[in-house]
Amino acid sequence: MNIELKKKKERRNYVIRQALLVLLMAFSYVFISSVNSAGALPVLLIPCAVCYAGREAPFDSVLYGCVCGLLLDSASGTLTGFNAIILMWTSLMISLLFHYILRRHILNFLWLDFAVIFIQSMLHYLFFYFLWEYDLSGMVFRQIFIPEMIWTNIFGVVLYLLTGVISKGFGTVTEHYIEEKSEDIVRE
Amino acid sequence: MREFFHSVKFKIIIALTAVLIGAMIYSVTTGGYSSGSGYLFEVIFEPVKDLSSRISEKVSTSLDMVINAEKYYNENKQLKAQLGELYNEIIDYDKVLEENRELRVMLGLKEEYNDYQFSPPCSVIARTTNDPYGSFTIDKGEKDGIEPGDPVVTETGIVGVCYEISPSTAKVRTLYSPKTAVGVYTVRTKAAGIAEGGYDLAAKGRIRMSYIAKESDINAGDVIVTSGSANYPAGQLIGTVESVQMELNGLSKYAVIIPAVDPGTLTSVFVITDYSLDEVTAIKTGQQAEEPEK
Repeated sequence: MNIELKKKKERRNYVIRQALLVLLMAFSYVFISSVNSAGALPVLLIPCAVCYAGREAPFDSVLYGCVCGLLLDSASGTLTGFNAIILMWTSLMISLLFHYILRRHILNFLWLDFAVIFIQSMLHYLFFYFLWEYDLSGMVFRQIFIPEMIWTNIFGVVLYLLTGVISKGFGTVTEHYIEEKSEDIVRE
Repeated sequence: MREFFHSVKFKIIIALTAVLIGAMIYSVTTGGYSSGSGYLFEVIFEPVKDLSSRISEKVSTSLDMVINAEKYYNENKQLKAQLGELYNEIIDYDKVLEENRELRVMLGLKEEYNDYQFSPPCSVIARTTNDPYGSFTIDKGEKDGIEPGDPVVTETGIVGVCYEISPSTAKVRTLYSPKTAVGVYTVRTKAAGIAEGGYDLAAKGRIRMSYIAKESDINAGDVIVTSGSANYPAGQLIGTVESVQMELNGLSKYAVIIPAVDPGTLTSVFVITDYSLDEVTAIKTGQQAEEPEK
């Protein structure tokens, strides 16, 4: 293929992919801030940021994680910047891990997603419930935070598959970890 | 990987983190006003939130009508019976009112009303994610004269207070929150106490009235109203007493209250924008009167 044409197609794919991922983020925000549920809701913005970090470049992931965090701050009534800082740094770590160390596999995604949800939930619980010594704050953790973590991880699988379809359909960043098995490899 | 940590991009990330920490400190020090980034997101997402909350409200209302039809039918029958009783009471009330007016004329007393200034009707546009205390966001903010600490009410009774304000939105903390403590009393016997929220009761849609003197006359069914405090005007309906029990220390009683307003089902509220604790109420409730800032 003509190099110019290839570059043009890649650029177009990049714009469409980013637009779709931003739409996904907006949907996640609207879902968590407008659904009125008696039980715990999955915090979709967290797996959204993790999925993005697993498929895109580190710096882009940091920006996306930052926006997801600010939206989460707005939806969950926490201090502006609290979730943004958590998601920014975890997105950076995940993106670097996927680029240099880990294979892009659903199991790797699942444990990393759970790790981020766990860190965010523990910090949220610590600063907004535990330190204030409210009565029955342990019950809040059991009945709100634990179901929230489980639901978020389950819904994360759906988001992982969805972002996989988007990345497949509209091209993704260069793979850094391709292992090639070839007959041509000369073993000594 | 080492290259990335030495790149300009990584330095930008560090700078962004510093900005966010600054925004957090700013939010803490402004006493309830959102920081710049918070402003931006509220403004951008307000129309989207508004639309989505309307859709979700429509869907949940339709589902609720289908699922709970029998419950509403029975409730309707019960309310009709109550209405009949109330009509009789209104007839008596009118007679007393007329008598009161005549006596006032005879004694040369002036009628006193608490004329509060209300915001325009505010729609509930978002619910705080996984908040056990049911706080929510309304579509009116600083531009409409709302300030942190302003009381939020409906036609039925008090809902809570505004605690984080942006130009076009405000977050409302409900009576279920443990941060809420309102001075209240029973209309029938004037038994006083403090209404406060907590997780166990919030999950059942109830609040607690604590520090009731053990000799106070308070029973299930008593109507509870506010006694007037820094954030809550006097005489606003809180709810009715469900049950009364003795505290474990045996020194006082507490009551479980069914709030008049269920924040989970609210779609529209009003904010009292000009309320400040007047001197008379301050003396009565032993609190410090607010300086008029507006």
